[in-house]
Amino acid sequence: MSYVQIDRLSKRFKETTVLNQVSLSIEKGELITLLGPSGCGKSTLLRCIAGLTEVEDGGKIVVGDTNITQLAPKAREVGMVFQSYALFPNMNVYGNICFGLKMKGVKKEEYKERVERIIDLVDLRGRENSYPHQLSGGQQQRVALARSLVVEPKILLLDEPLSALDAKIRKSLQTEIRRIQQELSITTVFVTHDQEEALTVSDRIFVMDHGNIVQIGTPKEIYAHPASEFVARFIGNYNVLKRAEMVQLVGEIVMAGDAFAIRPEVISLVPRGNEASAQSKNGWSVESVVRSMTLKGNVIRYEVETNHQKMQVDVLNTSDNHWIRVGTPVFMRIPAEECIPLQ
Amino acid sequence: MKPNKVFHASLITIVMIYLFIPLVATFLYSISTDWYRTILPEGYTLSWYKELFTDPRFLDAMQRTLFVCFLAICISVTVMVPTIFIVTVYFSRWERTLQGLVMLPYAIPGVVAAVGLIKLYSSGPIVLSGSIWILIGAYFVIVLPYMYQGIRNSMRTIDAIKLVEAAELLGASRMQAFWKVIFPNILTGIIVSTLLSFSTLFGEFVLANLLVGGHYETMQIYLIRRMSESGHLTSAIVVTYFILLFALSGIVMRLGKSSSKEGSR
Repeated sequence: MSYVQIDRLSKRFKETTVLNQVSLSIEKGELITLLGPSGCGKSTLLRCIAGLTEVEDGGKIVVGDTNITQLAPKAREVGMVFQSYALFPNMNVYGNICFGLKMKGVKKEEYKERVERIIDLVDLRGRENSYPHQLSGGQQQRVALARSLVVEPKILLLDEPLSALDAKIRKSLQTEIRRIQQELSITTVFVTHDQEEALTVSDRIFVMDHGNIVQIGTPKEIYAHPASEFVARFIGNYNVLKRAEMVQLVGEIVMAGDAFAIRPEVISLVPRGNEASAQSKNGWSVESVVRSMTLKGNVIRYEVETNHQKMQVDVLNTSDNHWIRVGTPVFMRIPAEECIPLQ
Repeated sequence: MKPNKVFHASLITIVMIYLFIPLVATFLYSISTDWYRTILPEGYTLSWYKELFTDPRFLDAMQRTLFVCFLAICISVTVMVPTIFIVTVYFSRWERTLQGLVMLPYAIPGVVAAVGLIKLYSSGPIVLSGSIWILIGAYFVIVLPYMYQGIRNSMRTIDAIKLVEAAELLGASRMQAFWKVIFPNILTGIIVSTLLSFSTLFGEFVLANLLVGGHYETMQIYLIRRMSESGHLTSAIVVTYFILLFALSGIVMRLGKSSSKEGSR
């Protein structure tokens, strides 16, 4: 049996269903991500696990052997890191970190070593006496993490913990959170709307939409095999074509599926005049024209137009890939094995 | 100096002169022996202040005012802080109702409130008319808007709901979350509201005069009564009164500044 079992959890706010009979299970020591757009119910699910939001009758949350559905937040033994950190402004870093231990009645002699260890783990040595307003966003987030971890919770809940930070710090903290999680082997639920973040940190991703879990899988599975149009559009910049659009683009196809997803990086562009190299055994070459070009750093994103529709194509930005000018007629080469059929 | 700046500077100077001349004149009159025929007083003395501070009536009135204000504000803090905390954190849908309720005293003129209170409490199960309790009760009501706004704003600034949730998840009870996390962080807000209420009550005359009047001579009533006796003495009272209020406002502004600095960090 899995370590965390969530069974048919529902939540309604007046007439709006925020969670619709959600069931999921998490293994011990696993980091799962709840990924979805704003309003999909991911944060509500997290708050239900924490006991900060009541669930409708019939739902059940079991952690280990304990049914925690009706327990008060303080009795659940869950740690939570909020998006806004929620550090106590009147306490310094040390005070914030040992608050939970004091509340649980742990004696100073006993918790001193634990607090010191966690300060080292989150790399806050030397900042113990600083107050939250004297710390940077990244440091505040580390304090919030340390404060939740030091009480040794059964599950750690992270509610969009990095969304208020700038891109560079966010990336380094993603790696750090993953390192700490693996070092402590703590079962973790991470909520985010950033697909790149989800792909970076997770063991498994649970994609949510309108209060339902629409796909579960490892980052690789989710990215390479989106199960639906929603997942394909949300997880990457997939070109999603209805069956009729696909037929218009490449002619008759034998594959089953109502729609098809094609990743922009699997399509290649061959300038007209190089028709021979544009031919491929297992795929299609489509005549088209480059309509726009955007430099994204490591890739160049082209918007390419055929007679029927516009497609996005990503080309690696290397010195031997010459930039194709807007208005250039090209062949778009689409490998058949990279067309993912969707339900 | 640019012509625009000259205009601004002279405008401000005129306004300042307009505001300060009465104060300066009152102060000079309070330390003058005679001031009838000359531009400046003919002689200076502190005897009016001496008379004032040795008058047992003045000291009694001051004590009474301090007592009534202090008691009303104590009751207000004791009632309002937990109420606002509970409504903000646990019953947020009642917030608008509470806000509407505490803002009512703004809308009701003092005279109307006084007449209503006298009528209500002069007979029936609770008779309070003429006693200081009716004044304390009325004072409790009129400071509600100041107390509510100040305390509510500090709770909003610190995001009290999230802090309580964080504290509870770390094993704190609701009481512990309030005392150890919320209270220390809203303390500045409470002090500012308290001082603001205090300076409002200290200058309040209508309710004091109509509700207790001669039974219980407060500072304001004393001031009005002595006004007819000697202009110099009245000026001394007014100056003392101003210095007290000025000191109070200074403390409020200092605390307000430091709390807004903390909030913006």
